[in-house]
Amino acid sequence: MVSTAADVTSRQLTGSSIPGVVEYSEVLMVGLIFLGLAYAQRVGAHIGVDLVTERMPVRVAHLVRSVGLVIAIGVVAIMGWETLEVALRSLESREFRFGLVQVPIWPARLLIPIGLGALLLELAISLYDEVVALRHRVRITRAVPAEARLGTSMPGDLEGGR
Amino acid sequence: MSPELIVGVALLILLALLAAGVPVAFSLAAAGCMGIVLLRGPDITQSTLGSLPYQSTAKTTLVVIPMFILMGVLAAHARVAEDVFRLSHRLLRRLPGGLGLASIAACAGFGAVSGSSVATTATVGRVAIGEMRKYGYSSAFAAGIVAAAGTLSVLIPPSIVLVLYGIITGESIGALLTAGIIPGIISTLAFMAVVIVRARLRPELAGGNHAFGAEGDPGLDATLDPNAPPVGKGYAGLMKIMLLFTIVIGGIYAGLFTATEAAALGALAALLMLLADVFRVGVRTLALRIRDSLAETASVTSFIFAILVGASLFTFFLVSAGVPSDFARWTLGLPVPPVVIVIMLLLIMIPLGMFLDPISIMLIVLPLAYPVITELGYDGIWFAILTVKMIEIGLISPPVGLNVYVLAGTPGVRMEDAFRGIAWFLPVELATTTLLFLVPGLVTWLPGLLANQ
Repeated sequence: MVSTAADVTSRQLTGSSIPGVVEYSEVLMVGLIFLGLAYAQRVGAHIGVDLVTERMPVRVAHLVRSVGLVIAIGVVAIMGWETLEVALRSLESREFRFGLVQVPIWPARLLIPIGLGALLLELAISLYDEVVALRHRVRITRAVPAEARLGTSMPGDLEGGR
Repeated sequence: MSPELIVGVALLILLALLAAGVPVAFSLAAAGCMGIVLLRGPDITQSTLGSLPYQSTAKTTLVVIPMFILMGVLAAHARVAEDVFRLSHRLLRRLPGGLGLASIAACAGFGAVSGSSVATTATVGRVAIGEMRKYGYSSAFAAGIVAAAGTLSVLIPPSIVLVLYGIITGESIGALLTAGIIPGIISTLAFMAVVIVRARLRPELAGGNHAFGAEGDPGLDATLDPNAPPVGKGYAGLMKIMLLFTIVIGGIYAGLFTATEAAALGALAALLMLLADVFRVGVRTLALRIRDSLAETASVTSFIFAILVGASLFTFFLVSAGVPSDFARWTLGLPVPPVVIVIMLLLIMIPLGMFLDPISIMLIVLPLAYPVITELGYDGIWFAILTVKMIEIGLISPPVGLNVYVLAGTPGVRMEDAFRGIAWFLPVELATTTLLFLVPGLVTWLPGLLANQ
């Protein structure tokens, strides 16, 4: 998952210099985004508001978060289903994007439900964690947002690890 | 149900989900979906859900966002922030609060290659706060400096928030980015003035006389990071920043390439700089760093675009319900002078900035506020800079400023300390914003030159 997303990023890099690649970068970016969704969920990059739940009693907080996750799962599931239908239609008709170069867009369309499906799994894991915590009264420490991790960990850790 | 009631219900759902800790992106999507179902029925909702995720993300202009993120992440891994910090400390150490000034300079310098204030705060904070405390700075003062100066990053181009503003409103991204330069410099100088004054009045905050022109000081090179390979005097980092900045902003400003192309070239240049480090750190570390950079870029990009998709669902619902036009009509009909409306729209951003991230705020507020502003005859670019300023003030305000939250992870810094330190910078931020509000020329002059070419 990560490597696919990373791969797309790096391919995008070479993007703008070659004519006609604009269309490709657009399609590739869609892939990057939706494949990265699940990864972002795993590392806790999707910023939410902890302010309220942090002030609740632990059990209530877990319960509230679980309900919230169920709703999120519902929305993502419906979105995944609908985009899958669109993607299959697009695949049948071999949908193209018209520009300087004809770029097939059905792969991008298809990547959306795949990415959403992976996100669904990650969300289910988060839900499972919350439910387990609810039953065992443990407080899960939430992951720091990825943007915050950005500088705080990596370069230093790498140096230290050598 | 009447449209008004439906909008009310959807807003309630949104607030409830946000309060339940559901990530902003999913909250927006769920509330938007619910609203569309109630308003237009399940069929429209189905087709919208099927097509919107692709439509809202497959836009060429949006490619600029992952490119800028990648450039910032790569630059962070190339340790430019540390370099600038070291260099500016050497140059500024004779001034009172020299180390504090160096931290601000590092934030501003790193802001010139990174577009996210949270990233800048985290990157600079990791190095600078430890150093300042080592030299006897109070942790409140040190944290305040970095949290406040971290906000410079969204003003000083490249800025992801300004890029998004351009995408939402259709203003020129190049013009928006250049508009941030002068306000960025003004804010930097204002922060530096605060540090100098505070260090003069209460030297004990800034490590007493210890930090003043200590010539025999072993210097930061020795203390900064024992594991770091020996590096030059930090000029290399400055050169890297200058080069990236020239490529990106110079290129856009001279009309050589579009913002997207500039961002891609900037990212490529940053990658090359990182590759040049191969002699210093070895192939394996380098490969690890590049892999980490790409993974980080992917996750941050996905997080931003998830909000974008969620917000476009929610906005689609609002537009279907006619909210933006109703809102515009209502505000324009208010019996107050236009200036009051602008001020009110700006002030709303502060409480929002206290608990939402800048990107979500932009996506939620702008579709409502921007038409009103332009209808009133105000300059969209001027409003962009003020909006960014206000959101940033929210980002460092109690009770939950995001920037402060990031710093609170640094050893030895408590949330309360950080907010105490911030207190001195908040009034200055407000003053700078007021100045920009009263003298729009400070914002519009530079992009004006661009347009007249």
